[in-house]
Amino acid sequence: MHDDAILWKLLDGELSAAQSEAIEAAAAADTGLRRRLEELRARKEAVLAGAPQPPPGFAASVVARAAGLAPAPVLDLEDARRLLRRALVAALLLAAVGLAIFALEVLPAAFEPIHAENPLLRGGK
Amino acid sequence: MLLLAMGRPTQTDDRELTRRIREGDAEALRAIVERYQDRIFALIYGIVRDRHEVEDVAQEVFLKVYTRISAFDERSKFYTWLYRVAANAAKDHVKKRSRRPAVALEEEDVVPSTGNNPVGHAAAAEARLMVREAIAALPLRYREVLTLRELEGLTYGEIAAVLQISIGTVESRLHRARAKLKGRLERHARRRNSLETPGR
Repeated sequence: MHDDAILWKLLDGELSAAQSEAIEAAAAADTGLRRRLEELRARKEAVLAGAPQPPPGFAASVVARAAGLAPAPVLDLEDARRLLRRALVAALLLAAVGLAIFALEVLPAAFEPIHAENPLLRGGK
Repeated sequence: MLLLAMGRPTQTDDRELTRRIREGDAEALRAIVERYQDRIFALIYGIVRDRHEVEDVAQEVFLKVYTRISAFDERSKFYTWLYRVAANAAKDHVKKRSRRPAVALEEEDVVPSTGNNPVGHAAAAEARLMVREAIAALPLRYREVLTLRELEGLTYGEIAAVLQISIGTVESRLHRARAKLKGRLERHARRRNSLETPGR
């Protein structure tokens, strides 16, 4: 017994040649399977119905409208990646400099009064 | 399947044309429009499901190709990018419309009469409208994969590239779209049968 998913794949051309041949051989010997395939094929065709055709002169009308426009300079993907990498490196450098200043200037100043006022920390006596 | 019927354009041709569009060559744009307009109309129609709105959206798509050509990465296939632009424009259009997608039931959509069997003709026309209503009622994400598969004839891999989703997601959406379609059509057939045989 073949389920619809496999039959749809057959109709969509997504099965290997060997798989397709096996199902088609089975359908040749099985009226039920053959009828099922025909139903699915009919449904595929029904989906195709009704799409409109472009009117005559459609391409000319697009070109006429495009004449008033200019291709917009859109950032190239590689350029965007390169810019992003540079921005990231710059941000990391800034952060490193900020941390270094904080460690060298702010932290010692914050601890100095404690050293000066605590007798236990003054020369160990 | 339009794409298969017409054959895929060569990459070299598309590359050359997109290079010229980058330089502002409007004639290259005309060549691209003429090459892809049928397929783009079908794709947009598959998602928007209203014949009257297709042309406006298609215009918007090709103008975007012209103005945003720099966003196209030449390492990928042009038609994949074009289909993505078109599918996104169609989806945006449906969202902006902020109402259920309209199903055009104009006279032009009804199957033209070719024989002398008015009953058979009416049944065929009704069946066709029924399918179209069922497709129009599908959620957008299902409608777009169904359109790319059935109208454009793309492989699962190509659909995945256009929509930037995995092949597994393409398969599951297609499966659900078809299951929903089947459910709606069966419900409709049951309703019709119960109307035809009252009192049962």
